[in-house]
Amino acid sequence: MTKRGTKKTLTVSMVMILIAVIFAGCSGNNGNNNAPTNSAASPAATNGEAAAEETPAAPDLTPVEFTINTSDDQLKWDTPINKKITEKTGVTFKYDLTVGDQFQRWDLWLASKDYPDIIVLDPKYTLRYKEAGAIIPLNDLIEKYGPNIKEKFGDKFNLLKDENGDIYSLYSVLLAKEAPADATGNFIVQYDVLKEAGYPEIKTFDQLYEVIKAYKTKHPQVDGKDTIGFGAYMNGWVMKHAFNNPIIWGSGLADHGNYTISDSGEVDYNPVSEATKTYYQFLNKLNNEGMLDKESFSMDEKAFQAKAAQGRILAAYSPNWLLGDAEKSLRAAGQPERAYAHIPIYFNENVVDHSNSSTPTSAGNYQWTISSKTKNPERIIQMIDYLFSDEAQVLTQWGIEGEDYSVVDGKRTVNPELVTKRQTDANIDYDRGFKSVGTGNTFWFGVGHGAKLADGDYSTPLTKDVVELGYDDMTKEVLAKYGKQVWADFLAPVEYVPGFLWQLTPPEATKVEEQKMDDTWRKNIPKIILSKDAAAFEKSWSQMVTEIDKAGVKKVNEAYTKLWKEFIEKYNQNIAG
Amino acid sequence: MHNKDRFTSKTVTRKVQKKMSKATEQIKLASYLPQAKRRGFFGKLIKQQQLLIMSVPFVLIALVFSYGPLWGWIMAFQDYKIGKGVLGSSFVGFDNFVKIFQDEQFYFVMRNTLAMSFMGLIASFVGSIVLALLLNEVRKTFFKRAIQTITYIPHFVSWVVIANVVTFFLSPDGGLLNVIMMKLKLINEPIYFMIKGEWFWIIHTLASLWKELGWSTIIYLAVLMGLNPEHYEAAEMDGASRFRKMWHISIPGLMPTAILLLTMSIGWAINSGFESQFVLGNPAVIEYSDVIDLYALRYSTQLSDYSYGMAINMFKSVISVLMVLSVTYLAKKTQQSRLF
Amino acid sequence: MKGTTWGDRLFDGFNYTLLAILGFITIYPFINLFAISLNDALDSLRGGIYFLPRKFSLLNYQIIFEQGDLLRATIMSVTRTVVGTVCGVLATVMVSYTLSRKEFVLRKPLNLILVFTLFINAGLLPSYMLIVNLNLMNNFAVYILPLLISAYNIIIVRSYFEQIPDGMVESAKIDGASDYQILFRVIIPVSMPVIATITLFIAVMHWNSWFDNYLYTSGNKELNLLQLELMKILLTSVNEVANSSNPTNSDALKTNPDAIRAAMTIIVTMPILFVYPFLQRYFVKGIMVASMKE
Repeated sequence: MTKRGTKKTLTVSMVMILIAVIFAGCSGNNGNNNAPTNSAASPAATNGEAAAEETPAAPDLTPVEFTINTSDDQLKWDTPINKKITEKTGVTFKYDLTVGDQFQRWDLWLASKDYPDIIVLDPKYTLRYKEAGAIIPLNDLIEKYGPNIKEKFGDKFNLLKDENGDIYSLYSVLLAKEAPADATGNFIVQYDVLKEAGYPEIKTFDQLYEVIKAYKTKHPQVDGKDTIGFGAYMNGWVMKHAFNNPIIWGSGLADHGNYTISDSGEVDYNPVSEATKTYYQFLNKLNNEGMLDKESFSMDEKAFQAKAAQGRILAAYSPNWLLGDAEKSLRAAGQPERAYAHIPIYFNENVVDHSNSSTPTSAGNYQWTISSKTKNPERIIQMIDYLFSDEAQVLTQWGIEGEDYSVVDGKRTVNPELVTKRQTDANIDYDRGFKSVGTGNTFWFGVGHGAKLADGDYSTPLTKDVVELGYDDMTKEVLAKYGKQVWADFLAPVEYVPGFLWQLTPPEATKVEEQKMDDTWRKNIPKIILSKDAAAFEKSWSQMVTEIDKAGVKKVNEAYTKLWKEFIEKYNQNIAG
Repeated sequence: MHNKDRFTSKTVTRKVQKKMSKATEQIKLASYLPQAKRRGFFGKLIKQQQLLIMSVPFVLIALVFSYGPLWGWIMAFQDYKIGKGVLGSSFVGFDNFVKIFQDEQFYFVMRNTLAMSFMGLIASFVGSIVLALLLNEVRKTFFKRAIQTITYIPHFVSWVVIANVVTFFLSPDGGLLNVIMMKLKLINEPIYFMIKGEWFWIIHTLASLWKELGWSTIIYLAVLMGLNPEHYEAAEMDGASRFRKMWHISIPGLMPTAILLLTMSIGWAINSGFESQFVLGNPAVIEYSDVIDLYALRYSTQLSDYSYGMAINMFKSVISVLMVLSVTYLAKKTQQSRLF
Repeated sequence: MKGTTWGDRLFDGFNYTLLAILGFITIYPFINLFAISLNDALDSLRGGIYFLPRKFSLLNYQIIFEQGDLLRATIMSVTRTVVGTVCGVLATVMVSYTLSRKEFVLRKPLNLILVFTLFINAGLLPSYMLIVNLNLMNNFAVYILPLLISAYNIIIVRSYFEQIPDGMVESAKIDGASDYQILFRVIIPVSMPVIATITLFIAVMHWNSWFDNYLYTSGNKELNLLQLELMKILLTSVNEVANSSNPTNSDALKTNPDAIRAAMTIIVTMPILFVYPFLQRYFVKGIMVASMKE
């Protein structure tokens, strides 16, 4: 080959590589380069068939598409309920999927100023986006286009406002007077343990100790494996559910995370409280008598679930979600007697239970905000306003009359087909369009389970009867022994609190100290609970208290107390109008 | 016996040397050729345009993607607020670095990071070379390929799964190891390995070795294949034992690559990652399992303190570069292959 | 055969046994995953599955294949892996060759630039903003360009090339061969083992990547890779378990994250596992000498 020929080949090969790269790049590009821009200007881009046929006489119904972020991969717009929403508002959504770490994604979006039209954020990020000017205030838009929003929020409307009176985000409001029928107590006790003990009333840790001790002595093994008196899980973020929350709930307090708030508004770090010491003494006693799961400290919630599914754990602190599929697995394996009663348990008989608390809005949950780059934000507010109307409440929570529910004796009743489908088809709520980027415990924007609409009927189908339908015979039998219909009957009446501490943005100045305190706390728990005797326990306990003191607990408590006081002040002002 | 062996190895070395000197002669010859005569820098550049085309565009691409983001280092000297950007955030000088060095926890995590990295890299260095040598001795091709393929499978299994298997194996509640030791009456009571801090580094090293051993062996196998078989033949003719051949031909043949890889691993010693420590660790062993990347996760990412995270990043980069430079300097002294 | 002494046989026996044990230990997690993936998910929750499924079920696979858009994602993953590997190997080989030429005037500076890319980094945020500013968001090129060359691979290949006797290159030069010809006619044929190795490294890296998909291209479903598609199914099943306290759909869920993860690992690992045995044919002894004699 001549030299010139070589050079040619060389150049050709180089160009080939570059072209391959660039070509591949373009072919994958599909004009979707700036996904999260508003395509309202080009209505042709929408795929809302129903809306497209609509007469253009009503200008606010012209098809318009907005992007909105979600972490739920299965959401789709092409569903019967969504079609109805498009019909009424002209709006269609394009879901911008953010799997994985949402916080990271929100940070990256903010840094690169590249976000969807409707940004669904948590309260901390709403604040951050607001400060960066990335989202717009909604007061005027709601004034103009949001009669239903104002009506549903009613005297709680001012709670939407920040300290300057501006509204930056929208979310569900909770109007229910009773606890949701699917709420449960957070301590679990195995049915068989209760049965052997003759279904006693278990209200205190001491009573719990007696029944599990008696059972474990009698049955040292379950299916050939050692019986575990009390389960726990310390590995991973769930650890606070095993080592902080039982203390809060056992004291009958509202759940403010790792903190307790006194009546006078003083905030205290709970892991160093006397109650915590008492609870750890209880765990220490269980451990020294071989009743605490000896593997607790390296187990995460999945290992805990596996042991529960083997029927070996007699009792534990475990909210329903943390137990996962363990009970289902037990029932599927033909061991319904190894499933659990979900009840509240307290430090002593005198505890007054305020733990069943709720906020007046779902502000602590996801919130919808509107990006400052959105071209017609008024259409979004119009849509949200429609979602708050009674008509849309029925549509989004009950579905379409005839297809999903029927009115029987003047009351809305879920169609039996939908009930069965929900038992067998995990996707049914997605296929019908019930699922959306929710902002509370209900679908879409709700007014809370157990709340009633203007027609006097329930706003959502979640009633005691519906919940009871999901129970197996064993559960019904156990509940009957205690004279209750559902687990929610064990709970104290709902108390509204202005908010939870963990919903507020933590004090900026002390966040490092707080992280240190949590690290110190976590590190010390195993030593304390594995103490061989009372003296060793005392020593380990006071060591932890000293270390946490050193980490700056006083400063953090003060910062939180100040934060809480300001929040309450603002709350009271807002409620007063 | 000894004498004979020494003689053999010498013969082998001499033959290798002969080949080498032949090659050097050719180089010398080449440098006398007219086109290699001294010219100006640009003259040479034009002369070497083919080499330029083959390297510069690609290096430029790497330059953009690796050095482009370095503007972010500015954040380390700022109180960076994500909404304000680098231009809008205020400068705080070296505050973030001072904060790092004043934190007691930082020294703990540095100790753990370096300890686990060095244990890991020694285990992996020795392990993969030994495995490569053993595989090299296998004459049955099928067996050899099967083992090669099988040992690299765990590389594709996520750490979560590996940790599950390890935790289960070591569990005090019916774990295999404890059951066996109980049966053999070695212990009276199950040992709770996973909460013993002093065990963590060892468990972590063994688990990492298990996961990555086969994968890190691949490169050594490739290098062994590239060694000149005439050396082996010559040694065989001299009656060298297998062990002798390994010691005098295979291992020296692997060394240049091994030293290079080792140098790079030492540079990465501070980048231990966090996944393995996170899934294997638990609060009871946190004083041994906490590493710098986990620390950064807790005190930067989770608190959205990007400046602090950037300071840690910068610190890590500087340490990496310093380590590599010093190792390269040492390697240069010992005449081994160089990174630069 | 010459040289099979008693000691040799003993060594062989020892060697084969040791390697067989090692093989068993390393394949165990995979067998375990395979068993779990083929077991009823609610049943596997109870633990105790080691080598064989206890309650056989194909449901985990069925759910994965029904839920995700796996076919398209697989095609995209294969495309990415093939394009990425071809471009990556070519670029790596060329750059390595130039850096192995002692007379190359830019050898030192280019080498320095590359080596330092291994050890410096500025974290996620600036990289993300770079990709946004280069307009590479939701663009296939973001899979290829940032990963085009890795200094690690270049150092390995370069050091291999440097061990090739200079005489081979010089004699080709005397014959009037260009650098391009030397690389493709002389160097590459004798370097197949190392090229096969980096081909494997690059292919596996592309096949296993999901983070760039997740960060940069999740806005365009067409570009979704198998890894991310499976990751989404996994996360969905995590979400569903979290929501399963809702009694209205209590029995709808028939799988759980662990079972899904097991099936997922099997699906995503199987294809790439076969790349290595395929490349092993290039792991042949004596390739260098054979060509030197030509």
